[in-house]
Amino acid sequence: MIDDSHPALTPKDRHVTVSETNDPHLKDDVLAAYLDRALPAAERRVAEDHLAECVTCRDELVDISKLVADRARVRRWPRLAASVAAVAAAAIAFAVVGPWRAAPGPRAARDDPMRESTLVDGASRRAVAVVTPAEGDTVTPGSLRFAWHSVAPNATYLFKIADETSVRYKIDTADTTVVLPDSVRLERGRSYNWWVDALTADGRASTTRVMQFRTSQ
Amino acid sequence: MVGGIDPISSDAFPAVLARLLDARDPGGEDVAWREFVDAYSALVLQVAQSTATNRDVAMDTYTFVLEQLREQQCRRLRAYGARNGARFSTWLLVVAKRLCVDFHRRRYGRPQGTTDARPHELPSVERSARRRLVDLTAEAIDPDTIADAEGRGPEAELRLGQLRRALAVALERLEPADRLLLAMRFEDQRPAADIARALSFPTQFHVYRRLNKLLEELRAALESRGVDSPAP
Repeated sequence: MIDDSHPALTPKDRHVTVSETNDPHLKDDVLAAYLDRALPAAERRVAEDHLAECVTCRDELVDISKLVADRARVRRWPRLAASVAAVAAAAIAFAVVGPWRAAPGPRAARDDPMRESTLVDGASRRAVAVVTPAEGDTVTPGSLRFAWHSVAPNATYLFKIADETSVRYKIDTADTTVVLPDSVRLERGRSYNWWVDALTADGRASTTRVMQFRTSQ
Repeated sequence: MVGGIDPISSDAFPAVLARLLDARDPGGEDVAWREFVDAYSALVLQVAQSTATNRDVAMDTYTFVLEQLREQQCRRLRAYGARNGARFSTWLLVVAKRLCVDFHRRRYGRPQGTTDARPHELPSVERSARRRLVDLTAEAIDPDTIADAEGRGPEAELRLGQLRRALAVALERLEPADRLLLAMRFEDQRPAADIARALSFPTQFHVYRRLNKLLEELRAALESRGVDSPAP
């Protein structure tokens, strides 16, 4: 098992620990936080700097990311099963009523050439700073407005809001605010998750990560 | 689920873990431990199975991991502090995976040098650099057809040295995330799907696109230094 106390480590190496073979490797919590995309940008860079040089940690990263994905897949099944009836009902409604059109945003995804040429991720995975609602906020459904800071000129954003089982609404937009259309009604006294993925003109991506808020009673 | 993020992230510091770590007497700890095992047995077993070749080995590995997690009043579990924002389940996957590696080393010994090493284990930096250059310039050249050091003339040696230096400089100027991406693709020769999952790209196509962009940048950097061909 990995030993956490190696005298040769410099302050810059606080993200890495030393294995029994005396090789430096990422600490348990740093590797986990990297996989969860929870590291602040500066610490993420340090971790990526190490990963770029350390094949052992890269192997671990790949192996564990597969385990995380497998677990997520297993966990999703019950939720998917629970929403099958709702999806079936929606499909019937779609067939009867006709093609549903997305609420008009500044740019719809299929018309957006930027989205087509998007290169996501890469170097600086900056976080998209949320303005409102903040994590853990309790909000009134009727006056709900989602806002975040711009990450770059000409960036586009994919906004999504979800309850426990499914995504309730999503939209591509070049704006940094979203107001839910009347067709999307949030229940009172319930928790919802929302997040925004930003895509910049040079192909970088960043995200707010998943934020949770609760609607008032 | 977006970019590998699970919207349900309720396990920052699970109650079942808190109860286990807060247990003050052996009886209470036993109860809390059983509760913990109930909650995370599937996770540990999943990791054990991923490292084992058959069910017996998987069960031995699973038992070893649980023993290690419980020893010295759950010393390893107490190391989890949610300090970096990692979810407990992800952290436990990392710890369990590393314990599984420990188990296999104890039982089977450390892997010795093998002849069927994976691409990233090949010692030849030269081959790696040449492969990068070939991909970089998008030419249909088999790296194996490029002449080896033996048999090169002094001029080719000089040229190869310049190529290596130019490439090293260009790579060094990249962001760590981009160097990581290139390492996974060209040194480890990982499939794009694996890379996408590990680095939280939405899809493997985003990996390809980012790689293409990076290779364009590298090619431009090399051309600016007078390198316009992968051949030494």
